[in-house]
Amino acid sequence: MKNSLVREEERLLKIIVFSNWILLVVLTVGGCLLKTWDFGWGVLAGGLIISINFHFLYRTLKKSLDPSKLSGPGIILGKYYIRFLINALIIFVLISERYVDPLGLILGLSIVVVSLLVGLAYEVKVNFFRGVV
Amino acid sequence: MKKVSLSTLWTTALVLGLSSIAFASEGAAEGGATSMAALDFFIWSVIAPGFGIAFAAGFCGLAQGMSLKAAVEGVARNPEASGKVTVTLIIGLALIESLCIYALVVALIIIYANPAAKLFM
Repeated sequence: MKNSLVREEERLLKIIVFSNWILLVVLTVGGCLLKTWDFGWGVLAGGLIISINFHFLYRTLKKSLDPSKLSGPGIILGKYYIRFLINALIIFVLISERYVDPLGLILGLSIVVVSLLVGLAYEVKVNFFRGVV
Repeated sequence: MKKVSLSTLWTTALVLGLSSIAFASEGAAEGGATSMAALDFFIWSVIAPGFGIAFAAGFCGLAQGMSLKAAVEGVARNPEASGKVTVTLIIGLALIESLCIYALVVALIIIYANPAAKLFM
């Protein structure tokens, strides 16, 4: 029972990560072709920032909440602040120096949110056909 | 006759000189109004992102704290469910954190890449 639950959760995460990369490629190519290069670069930069951020968030939380690999609160907080500061610095440089289109950057930063919605919709569909929902 | 013509000349010069001063002060008043509007714009362009990011960070911190508290309580009660709780928590935290990142991006856009700033340059 426990293993099946963990497998279901891992599947949800895999779907989210997979749709992340698919969306990143599609939106970057679409942005470059349909809008400007700056827009495409903005989508790529935003998508990479948020995807790497999500990956590190996953790793930190997995280590912090797994009873077998508990790490100290100082380490978790330190990693959290370092991650957030690096994100803020990169976004600050990208916008203040106008390396990318701000709207493209916002679209790129939305990729993980859209992927989460895709993953949740997939789970609802699976559970609907199982008769759980 | 000579006296009259001299006084006429001085009056004309005075009127012309004063009129140029009057026009100049009118232009300065217009310029002053424009610069005041620009100053207002830049003051609000600094205040709005400051308050925006403060509210966003405050409420996102509150939401993350509440969700983390609930997750830790759940794992403490039932350590076997830590995998499921962790994944759900990651999804929730990513959604909450993205809101704060949006606020940061919008604040930076208002300060550094405001499209309306061209009107005051």
